[in-house]
Amino acid sequence: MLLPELIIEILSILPVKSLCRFRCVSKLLLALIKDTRFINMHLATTQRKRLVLETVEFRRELRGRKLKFINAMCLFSVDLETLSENEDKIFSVELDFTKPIPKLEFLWCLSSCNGLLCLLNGRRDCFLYNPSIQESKQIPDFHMRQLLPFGFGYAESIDDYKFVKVNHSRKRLDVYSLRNDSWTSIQIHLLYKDYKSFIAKCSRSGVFLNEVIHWVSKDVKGSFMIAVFDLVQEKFKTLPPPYIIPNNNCMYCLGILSGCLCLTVEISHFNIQVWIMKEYGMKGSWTRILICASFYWLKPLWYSNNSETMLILSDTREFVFCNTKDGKCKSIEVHGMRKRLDGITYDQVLDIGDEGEVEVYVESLVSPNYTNDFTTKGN
Amino acid sequence: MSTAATADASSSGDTTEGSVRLLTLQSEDGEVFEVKETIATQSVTIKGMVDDDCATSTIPVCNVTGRTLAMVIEWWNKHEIGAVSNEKELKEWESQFDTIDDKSDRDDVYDLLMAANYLNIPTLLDCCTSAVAEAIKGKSTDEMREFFDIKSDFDEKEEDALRKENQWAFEN
Repeated sequence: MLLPELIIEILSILPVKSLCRFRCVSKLLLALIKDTRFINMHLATTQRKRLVLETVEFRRELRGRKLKFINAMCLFSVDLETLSENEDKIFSVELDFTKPIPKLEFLWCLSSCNGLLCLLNGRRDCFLYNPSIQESKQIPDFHMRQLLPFGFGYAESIDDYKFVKVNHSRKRLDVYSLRNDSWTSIQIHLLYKDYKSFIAKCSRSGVFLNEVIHWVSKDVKGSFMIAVFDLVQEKFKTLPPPYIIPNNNCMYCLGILSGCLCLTVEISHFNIQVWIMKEYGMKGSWTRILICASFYWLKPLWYSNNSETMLILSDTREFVFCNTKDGKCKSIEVHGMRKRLDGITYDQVLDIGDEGEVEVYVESLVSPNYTNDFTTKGN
Repeated sequence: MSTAATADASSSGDTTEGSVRLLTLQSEDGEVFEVKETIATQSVTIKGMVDDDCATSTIPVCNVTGRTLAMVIEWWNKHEIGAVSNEKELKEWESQFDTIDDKSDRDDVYDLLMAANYLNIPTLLDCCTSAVAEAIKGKSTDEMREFFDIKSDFDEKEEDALRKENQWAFEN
């Protein structure tokens, strides 16, 4: 018989699906796999990454007594760990929401953190959903009429997940805390004196890293800047951008690549640069990792560690492997295994629509319904 | 360091040869092994003893049998800097731990895990935990119980409810 600490060590590197199955082995294993400390240990050691894709498809659906064709937005998932640059197609599976989320035709993925996806459905209800363990929770009182700057992230030092969004009409920043399962609201001019230019020029979707949400924006003089909101202190700050020849017509977009903040810059037409901030907060650590003249625009998704290949989403909504050394590019098709209504399985090439977003997320055991742990732990 | 790599531990009964010191390890069942200090200090526990000057006499390695200790020493020899010519060869040798097919394989890996834990050898511990994880990740709940010698303490109702709750994890 092995020592318990060795069994825990072994379990902490298993895939989430195996662990969900092993919940049914014994009471001890069930308790362990649901324990917050084990969940965090697993998250820290096993970073199995996947993509979530928003795809458009026409599907037949029974509405009342009528069979209707509707244009629906679906979410698919791709396993990045088994992805190889030698392939010319990748397979994806549709995320199953029938049980936990009322879908209402449309489903957008706003953001992701530690395996939790922030999903918005056709009725503009917002859900935190972990597809790896198939658990969801609806964020209460979620009113977002227009998509203004928002972000979602984890404040590790206070063990809380927060969703923030700008509330333009009330000139406030609304902050949802999963720990308290409630909203607070802060007058935005107290946080940020140039809030008008911030809201006008700010990117919608914030990028989460290191307890902080990041947006690209412009200051009052119109210069590019990175605005950040600290989820622990609930304060705005700025981060130094890389030194790029000042040009007010450049387009900027933030992302995460290999655990670093990453910035895509359109210098001019068909002149795209990708930079990463190797040491967080250090201006001198910004490093240019890609120059690309093949696309009008691109979104870096994943950087394979042992080679020079980067997976990107191109302006034509295609997935492309890009060699960072010689700039060579190779497109790949995304296939989904789908079942037709008559039960015959066929292979379908997925179409990432014009608006379709693609996000990277990790497989994790993090449950959106763990408020009970908070209360026992807090005291 | 170059003298350490060329010294042959087995040819000498002395405790030193050149600048290389030999350490004497004794297994739980009394087997005695002489190992170059430069190799044995891959164990954080032994390195601590050497650093504190506590490794002058025979070091008792309790909880580890001679058979297992011999396997650990083989591991050390393969992982000494310069011992194996390339990374590929080392990976091939390590791959013998990847498959745990029968009970004797499993018992060997368990013994190595316990030894790696006791002696604090991070590389061996990582290799063995990965091997076990690889072996169990596709197992059913019953196979898992057998593998870790766990008895189910759920009653039938509880287990059915849990299985229903996690049904997707049982599908391919």
